[in-house]
Amino acid sequence: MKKKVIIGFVALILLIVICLLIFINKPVEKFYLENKYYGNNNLTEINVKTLNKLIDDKESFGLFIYEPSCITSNEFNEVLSSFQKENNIEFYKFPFSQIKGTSLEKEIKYYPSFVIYKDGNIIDFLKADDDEDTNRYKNKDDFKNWFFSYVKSKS
Amino acid sequence: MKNKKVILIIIIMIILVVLISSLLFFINDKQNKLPKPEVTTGVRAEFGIDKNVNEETIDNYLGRSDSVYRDMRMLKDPGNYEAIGGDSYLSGFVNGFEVVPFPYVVNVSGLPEDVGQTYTGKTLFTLKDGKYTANYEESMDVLEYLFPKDKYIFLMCGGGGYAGMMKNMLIELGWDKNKIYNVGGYWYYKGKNNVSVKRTINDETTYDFWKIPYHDIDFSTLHEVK
Repeated sequence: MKKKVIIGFVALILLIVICLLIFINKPVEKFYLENKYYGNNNLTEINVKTLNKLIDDKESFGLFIYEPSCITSNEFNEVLSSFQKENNIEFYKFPFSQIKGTSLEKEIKYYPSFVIYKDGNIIDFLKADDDEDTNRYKNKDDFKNWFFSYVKSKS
Repeated sequence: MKNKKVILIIIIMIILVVLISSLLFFINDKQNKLPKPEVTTGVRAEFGIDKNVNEETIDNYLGRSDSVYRDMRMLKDPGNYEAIGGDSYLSGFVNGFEVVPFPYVVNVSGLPEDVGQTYTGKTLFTLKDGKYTANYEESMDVLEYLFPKDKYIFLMCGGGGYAGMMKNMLIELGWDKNKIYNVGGYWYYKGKNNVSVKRTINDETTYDFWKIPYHDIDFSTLHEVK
């Protein structure tokens, strides 16, 4: 009897763990950005106040994290520009020096980065210290594949 | 009997002194041990930022007598960074680093279009087609003074870009690559040795440049290479 209880308990724990793993690794369903971001290729500078409002309004948008005073952001800036011209999608840009105190601070360690927001939540972002993201920073098509693995195109 | 006790006490004291000295030597050696330069991963590797000696760990390597620490930013960059939400000023630095503006060392290219023209004045060297040429007879002397070949050289800037370019230049000109570290960018630094230069009081912003150890290069005193 005791043995059956232990086996049952272990089986229950395993089931919970498996369910949690499935839930955590569930791929994000593709989504549209807000309608207003399609049809133009603006890269609009925003400040902390605007960023917080976008998050509070649960908007879905793309955000380029950069630092204006630094050459480090430039190559990716060109990849992004090329992507935007081809796909006509508006993004925002935000200086790294202002992320302190924002919800970005815990996630974004280095610039440049690019953050995909869905309904005001960070879905994914590019990491400057991750080899897996290197080609996404340097190559327009790699960035495009990554971006459209989350976001639906309207073209 | 008494003599034996004295001898025993002396022996114990000698052992204690030896033990304490060894311990101190071990700690000192461990603290001062510099890892060999090793480039980090991801796109940060493009700038040669070091894996082990970087913004997160630099506090462990400051104040070494066998090293020099150079911040490659300008005090005030002529580029119009305010137009794109940035700050043209050197608003803070890591204590121990001394500023040597990279744009004064060699011509800079590849900045964002929005910024417009940055410093386009005189430089110690010109980089063209991958080759560095001295513009002044004293150029190499200045470089060797600011970046001594017999010292470890720690380089830093805003995001690691200028520091990376400086590292590449030094190696190209004959410096030992195993003695140069690109520590990365001040913007990522969260350590205990931050010195803030920017002050905002009653909506007015000022910069305490007097805090910054700065190496000025006065080109009017140098002799152009003919």
